[in-house]
Amino acid sequence: MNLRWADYVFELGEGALELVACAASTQAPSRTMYVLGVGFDPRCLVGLQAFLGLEHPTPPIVVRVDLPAPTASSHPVARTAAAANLVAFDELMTDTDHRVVKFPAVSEMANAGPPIAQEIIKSDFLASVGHLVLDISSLPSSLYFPLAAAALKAGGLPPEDPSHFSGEFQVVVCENPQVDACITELSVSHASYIAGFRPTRLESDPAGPTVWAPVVGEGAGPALRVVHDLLEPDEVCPILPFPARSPRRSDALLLEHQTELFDSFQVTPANIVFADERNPFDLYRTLCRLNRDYEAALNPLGPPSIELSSHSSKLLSLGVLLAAVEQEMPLATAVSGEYEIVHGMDLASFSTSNQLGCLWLAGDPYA
Amino acid sequence: MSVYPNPFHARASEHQREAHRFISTFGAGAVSMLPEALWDRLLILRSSPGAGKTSLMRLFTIDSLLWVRGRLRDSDPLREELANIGALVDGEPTRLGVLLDLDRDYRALLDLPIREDVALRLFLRLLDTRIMLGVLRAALLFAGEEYPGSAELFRLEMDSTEPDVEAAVEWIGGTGGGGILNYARDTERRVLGLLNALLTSDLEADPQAGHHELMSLRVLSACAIRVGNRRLGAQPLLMFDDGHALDNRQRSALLEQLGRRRPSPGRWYSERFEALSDQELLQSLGTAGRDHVLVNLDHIARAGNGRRFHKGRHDRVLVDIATRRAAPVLKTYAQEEQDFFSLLDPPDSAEFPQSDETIGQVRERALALSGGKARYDRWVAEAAGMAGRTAALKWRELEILITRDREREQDLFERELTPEDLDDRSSASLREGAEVSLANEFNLPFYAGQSRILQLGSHNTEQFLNLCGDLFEELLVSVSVGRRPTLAPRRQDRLLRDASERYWESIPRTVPSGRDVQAIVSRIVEIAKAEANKPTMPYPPGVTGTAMLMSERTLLLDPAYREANPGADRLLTALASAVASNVLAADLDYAVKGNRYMVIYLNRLLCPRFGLPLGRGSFRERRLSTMLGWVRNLPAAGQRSERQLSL
Repeated sequence: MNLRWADYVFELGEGALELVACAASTQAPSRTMYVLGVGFDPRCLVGLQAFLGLEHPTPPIVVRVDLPAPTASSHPVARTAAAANLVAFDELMTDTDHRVVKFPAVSEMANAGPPIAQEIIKSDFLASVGHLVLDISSLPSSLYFPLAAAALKAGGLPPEDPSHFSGEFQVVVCENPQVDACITELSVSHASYIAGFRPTRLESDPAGPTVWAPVVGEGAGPALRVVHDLLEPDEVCPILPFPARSPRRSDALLLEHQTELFDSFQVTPANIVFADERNPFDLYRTLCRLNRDYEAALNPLGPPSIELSSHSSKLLSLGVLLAAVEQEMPLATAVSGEYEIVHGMDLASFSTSNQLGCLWLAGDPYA
Repeated sequence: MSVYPNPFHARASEHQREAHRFISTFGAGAVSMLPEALWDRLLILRSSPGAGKTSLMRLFTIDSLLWVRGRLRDSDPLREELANIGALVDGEPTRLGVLLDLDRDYRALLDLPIREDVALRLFLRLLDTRIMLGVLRAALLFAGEEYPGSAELFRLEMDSTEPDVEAAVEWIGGTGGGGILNYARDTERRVLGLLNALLTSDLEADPQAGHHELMSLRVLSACAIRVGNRRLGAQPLLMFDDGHALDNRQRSALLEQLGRRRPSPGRWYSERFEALSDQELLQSLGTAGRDHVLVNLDHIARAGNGRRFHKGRHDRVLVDIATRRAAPVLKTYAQEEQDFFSLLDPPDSAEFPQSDETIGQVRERALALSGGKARYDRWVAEAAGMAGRTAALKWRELEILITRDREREQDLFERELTPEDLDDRSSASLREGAEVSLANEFNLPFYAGQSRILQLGSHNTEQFLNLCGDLFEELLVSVSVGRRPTLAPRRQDRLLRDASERYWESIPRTVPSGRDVQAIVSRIVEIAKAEANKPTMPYPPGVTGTAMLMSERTLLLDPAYREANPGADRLLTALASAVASNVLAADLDYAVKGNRYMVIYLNRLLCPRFGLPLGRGSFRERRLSTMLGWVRNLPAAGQRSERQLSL
């Protein structure tokens, strides 16, 4: 099985920034473009601050993707934090070249990714840029999945194509399980396919079985239910984190979601898949293998569709993204626009547990 | 958790793809909810989510009809129901039912970077191809042929040579199955390519070639269908499900097409009931009854349709569904021949351990209120002759009635009240109110037994089946440890209160604007509690709803009003979300004392959490200005949850 990222470049922790600096230096004197979103999440500026602290032989460009403000019924702390983070961002930008990409007028959040990707991944926007960094710490998956996929796709286009980009492409994420545990998604009422990752199976073709592989996380019950309603899968292969920092995390997740998984979705224990919670490339390889094996096994029943969704950490979601891009697997997401922060928690107080990760996905290491 | 499968949790029938599983758990009586005029005009099915729209439509798909034809006996109730409404004649399906899910790629078309009119034309083209694919597949299945392998056997035969029809046939790929299939594939590839376009260069495909109307309707109304040498007698029935998932512009365009007055295939359209939206676009669809029929499934479930589906029949349908689900598991794993509900003891069979203490307290209060007056002697004597739970309930009932009597203008002659007076002044509602207040005061089981489980289902199939699932899980545990599966009222009450608590807790997580919805529910509960605390119980069995003047509803729907009044937007959003998610049930145009109201009731599943009665009918109206304060003056979220917990 030939995998695009069979060998990969990934750092979690102190080495992450060195990786960013290294990629920048390979493209010098081209500029580095750092793309991020600024929302209520206290981690949204951690990567940017570290990035700005690096030595830049050529001045970088920072691109802020304008995110919709938290709704009136979101937690007041979330609304205040989002406003404060924007002020902090503006302060950081006083001496830095920066741009803002407007959030498109779409009827559904899941459709917002492609217009933003089309705005950023084009040669005039990326003129003089040789290194693109996408910081997903405060971006919703409906935005960063299409953005990252577009950047990867752009590398394969001929140089004359207006969307061609063949520089270094990295994804940066700030992980902090304590902060994750304090944030709850509200209003998870329906699910959609992420634009750019809709199933390519035609209704006019004979339908084969649908297999759904959700990456299961804490508090994901409502999201699992609505994605299941959307996909109506024939078989479910839940993905649980193991190895994990807490060896019992998988067991705890099974207990938390036992009604959904075993009663509603009728998962059989043999279908449970495990992946390393701190290495997205492990999950990527697992999903690629799963896709290959199911295609081989189920093809006699009609071409199967292996569909994915991610309900766990952002780091792990990148494994889902890479597999979806490489194997053209559909990706669904539960739509949520409101967040709540556990009462009395000061998210900033957890900053010591912040950990930056960097995935180098295209460019020099793969040449 | 038991070691046996719970047939209720593997729930919604739309998830059960196999026709046999679907048919074997379908409640045949639900077919009678449909009106008599089914095939010749547009049928619009409307209900809250989970009320059974999709299941009802799915029954008429060709897969289901063929299964019924081949596998059910003539005497089977479902087969009889289908024959009664003409879906089966001489045992043969008369309809090629095609179910079209509108919650697919359609809405996203309007988010593409193309002109709106182009996007609408693409929408009609994509829908056209899926209609034709559905009919092609249904026809082949009906004729015993394979899809898509035998597509070439399919042919449309034009009964006339009208140029419009000929042109329309060209638009859908021609008269042959192969051409239709190729056109559909090309359309789907192009549209999906656009929807998946990540880069500017992906958008270069020309999206101009859409349809300006649903060509398939014109074609199917003018053509007969032939498969091989056989001309099919069955007529297409197009069933469009989940219309609320469309953008309003798409919905209007589709309904306008479906409502056109011309010979057409059968057309059914379903959508979620939205009490607070501009959903009433039906004026453009001609005359109700003649050009289209609106079927409000929620209303029919509660009150019947005045014809074959009588009030109370929906309960029997639900019991039938639950019994069918449970029976195979009970028989296989517990060798249990009794049906599911007979294993659940009713609340009046509950043990009454603190009998003397409870009765004593309530009796003392009633006697104190009677003040030893001879007027109440016969009432008191009747209660004194009772024992156990019945006695406690009677004393509580007397407490209320004596308080009411004392507050009334006294009879001139202070005559002695008779047992007949007691019957006249009491009612089933009052007795329910008395029972729930007694249960709240002395921690007695109230939420138990078949009739209350049905009430807690709020006439919603999905909610009802989920509750059955919670109770069945407990029965399965008994089976797992070798005990006979039965559930005492106290245990049922505990499980149903837990389900209510989970439902309440899930609102912020699963309902848009869920915290605001919870705030509105809390305010209605406050009203209910204030009324329940009145010693005369003026609105038995208790208030479980509020109401807004229809004129104020119109005001709330007006954007100019909302802009000028802080909180109005938020109130509208929260109320609309609550109704669309079935947390609140709304009845429009309810007439009381010369006014017309939108009455808003709590979902019955919320009642156990707050110790409220389940009977529906009592509400206290509130002005719009008051309701605005419910969301405008919301405290911070943390304080909010503490406040709600104290309710």
